Amino acid sequence: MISIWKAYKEGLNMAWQHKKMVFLIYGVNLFLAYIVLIPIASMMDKGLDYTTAAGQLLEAFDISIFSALWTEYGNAINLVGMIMSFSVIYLILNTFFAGGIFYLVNENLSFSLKDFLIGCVIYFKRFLKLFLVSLLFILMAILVYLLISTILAVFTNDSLTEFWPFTLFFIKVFFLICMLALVNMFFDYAKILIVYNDFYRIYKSLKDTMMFVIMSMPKTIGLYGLYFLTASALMAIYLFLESLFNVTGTISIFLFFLLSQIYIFTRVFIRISFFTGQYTYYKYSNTAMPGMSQEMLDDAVRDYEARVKD
Amino acid sequence: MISIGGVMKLHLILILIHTLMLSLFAQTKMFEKPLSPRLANYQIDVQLNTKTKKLTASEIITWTNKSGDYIPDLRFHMYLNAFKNEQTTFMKESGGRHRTSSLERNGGWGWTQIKKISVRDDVDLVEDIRYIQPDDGNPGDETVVQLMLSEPVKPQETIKIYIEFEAKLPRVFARTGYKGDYFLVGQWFPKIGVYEAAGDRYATAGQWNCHQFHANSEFFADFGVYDVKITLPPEYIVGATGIRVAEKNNNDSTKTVHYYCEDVHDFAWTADTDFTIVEDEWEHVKIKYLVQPLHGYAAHRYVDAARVALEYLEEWCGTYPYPILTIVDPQFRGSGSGGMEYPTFITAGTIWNLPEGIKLAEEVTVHEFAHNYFYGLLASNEFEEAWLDEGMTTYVELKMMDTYYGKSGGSVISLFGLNIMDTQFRYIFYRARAKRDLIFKNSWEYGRGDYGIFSYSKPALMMLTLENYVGPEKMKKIMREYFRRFKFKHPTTRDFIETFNDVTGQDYNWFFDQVIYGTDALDYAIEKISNTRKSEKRNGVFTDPTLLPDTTDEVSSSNDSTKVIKTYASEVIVSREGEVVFPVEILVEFSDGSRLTEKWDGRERYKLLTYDKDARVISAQVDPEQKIWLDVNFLNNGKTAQKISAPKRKYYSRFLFWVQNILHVMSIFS
Repeated sequence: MISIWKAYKEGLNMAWQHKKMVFLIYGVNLFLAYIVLIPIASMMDKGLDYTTAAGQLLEAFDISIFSALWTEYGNAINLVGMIMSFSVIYLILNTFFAGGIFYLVNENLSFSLKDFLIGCVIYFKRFLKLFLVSLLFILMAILVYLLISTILAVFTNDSLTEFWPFTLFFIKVFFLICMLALVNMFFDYAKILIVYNDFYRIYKSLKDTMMFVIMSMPKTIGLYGLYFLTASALMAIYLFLESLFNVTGTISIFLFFLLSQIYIFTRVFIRISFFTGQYTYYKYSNTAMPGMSQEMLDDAVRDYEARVKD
Repeated sequence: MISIGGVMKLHLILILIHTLMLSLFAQTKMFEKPLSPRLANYQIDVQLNTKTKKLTASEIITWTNKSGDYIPDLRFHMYLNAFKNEQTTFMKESGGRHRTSSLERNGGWGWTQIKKISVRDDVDLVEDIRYIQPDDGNPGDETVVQLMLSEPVKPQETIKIYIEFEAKLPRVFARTGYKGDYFLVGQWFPKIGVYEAAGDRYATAGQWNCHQFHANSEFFADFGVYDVKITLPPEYIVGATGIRVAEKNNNDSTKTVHYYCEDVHDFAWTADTDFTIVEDEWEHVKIKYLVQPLHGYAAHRYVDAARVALEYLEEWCGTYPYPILTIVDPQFRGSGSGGMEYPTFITAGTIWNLPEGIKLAEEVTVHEFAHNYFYGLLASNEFEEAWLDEGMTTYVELKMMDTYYGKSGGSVISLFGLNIMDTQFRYIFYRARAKRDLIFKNSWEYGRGDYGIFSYSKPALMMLTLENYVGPEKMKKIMREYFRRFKFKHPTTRDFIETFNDVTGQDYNWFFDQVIYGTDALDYAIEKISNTRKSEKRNGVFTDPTLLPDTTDEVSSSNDSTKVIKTYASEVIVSREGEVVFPVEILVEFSDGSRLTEKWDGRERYKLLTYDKDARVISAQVDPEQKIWLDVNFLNNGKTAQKISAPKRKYYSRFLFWVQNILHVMSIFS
């Protein structure tokens, strides 16, 4: 039996061992964000390059200048559209990369671009199908949210104070986040199951995964929660450090850039740790689960114990 | 059936009671001498049925024809009829939406109806009244009623008009109505229009100024004394215009609350079972806050804001004459009644646990209180010259907010590192549509969204620009003089301009003609900076190192003190991009650290500034202190000779960070 704490640590450890992979995904993230911002950079070049207003903006954000910048030079930029389009591209790329991540982890390989891409290619078709199915689950979660909202609205429409509408709103949003986290967890484990057992049957793997997640419920959620808390703590640290900066000079701009990029790197790292931690938990869990015989399980536990002793 | 003699007796008794009541009220009067002409005085006895949301009332209007005209008719506002059905002018113009609230079609309608009306005597003239639509001819609109008189009102005659009316309040919408047990009762009684004789304001002949109720307009009325008794269930906590002079419990399980106010031109009231009362005092003013139970946390914010406003307006305009100010915090579902001004009675608004960094309660409070000057005491016609109240109010609001709450860099928003000043906030709305319309316009004729810009933002920024131009002390004198001349009157745009010109001793019509009566934009820019290097021989001994700037190439031989100095022929072109002409200052900075401030009257399309100096021009900026808030583009106000990259890097790295975060969040579902 493996505790979630051990799975958590092992997940972080494995992600660290594959830090080149983390760098690669971080690099893709940076590259796509850079492309999204080309029009914005161009807007700033045109609008700020030779203006004294730039100096004012350096001191502090000035919405009156920024609104002028946007309307004079940025009106044609469809920033929301760009972000949405590139988010979809990034989402699909990450679906592709997930194959590489699990492949390296499952095969216990150290990072090489070739092996990583092999993994990406091997699992992409199955993961993409899984992703499309996950969209249905996300849609269902949203529909449930809307249904709950409609029902609650009947009770809160005539509420004479903000207390219940606001409280229920936050509860609703929390519930939606939990549902989405659950969907996320189902599909993370589904990928793990596919890789670990080399499953091709998407729906079967999903069904087995859901059984596994539900049967191991406190632990699967606990492990997910641990990573979530880690991500939240990192965000809090980042926000604290950022608040210490008065970004008005070249050095402070560089330091801010460095800090923000370290933070993004850690976010990618934690995302991969989610995968590796859950993979570890799945692999070494002694819960009898569909898709894994008791013999396989015992084997896995022995394997893990030997590794830990080493 | 009552005989004619009986009617006469009854009438006499009523008059006696009325006289007796007036003498009683004389004991509780507010002011020793009338502060206003008191042309329209109201005595109203209203009962609120909290179940049916209806008002049943009797009203006596004592109205004086101050003109030299014989007036053949009377006109009254019936504002609540704006919410009667889809066919009213208000509903057609607004689509049933006002600010952030919507009229609930399902049972939320409101209306008012005169049941009985008599003038001078007890003859019911209700059959003689007819609805008229002086603004748009919309037959579906019943917000103005006309009564033709058998005998005209003579010059200087004072008449009494007896009205019995019934009204159904709408579910809170456009400043008035109910929600649950919360009532905000505004624009609720038949209210006589303003009769303007030739020469009054813009009137060239005697006429009623009694407009229909529009989506984009507020109100206009004559000053008077309001004496109002409100009867309602005893559990209700009541607030209203003026002072409470009495409260008594009735035998029918109701109570009657009696309010009285002199020298005001409107009366509104509120009732709710849930109000918490917080009281405070500022000099001679008793401040009463009626706060929703969940908003207790904000009470100190209202208190501080009211004090800020009282103090500021005392200094910048003059004394607030009334002994009372009531501030209402509307119920959550009654937010459509928030952010509204009535004499001595304002509605503010906040939401549960709103962070201190969002100064909504403060902004609304100072704004609505400022209306007690610009609307309340300086009773301009809000239908026709809305800027005189909304624009002036916004101007002082900006000053109060930015001065008292702007120390952190953000007077309306100061949250998570984002700081926005009130002036900046108004400016971004203004600059987006600066040339679309003009300030001097009937408020209901503005297109959607333009009323806010040309009645609030542009006039406020115009006033701020003027203040920066003439100086704050001069501006204070102007405002105080405007207040002194026109308090308790109906000042016009013309009156304000005359006051401005008188106090400054100069003719500023050139400015007002462009900005109030025109649609042109103000935009000055630095078009070009150029530096051409040239060499100059200088003979002599140079002991002063300042004559030898960094760029100096010194050529010397043992026997020769001739130096060849690099000098620059520099040019700065300042251009007027907009049509509005306004004097500007230009700050020119040189590479040796020296600075020059140039002045330009701005009349030509451009101005060429030339310099022949040892140092080159490194930057030039029109309006370097950002005093001209009417300038529609601050971005082109200054140019530098060299590229500045640091700000771009700063904002680019921030944008990059946020886009990376968004991408990452999306990837969670990969």
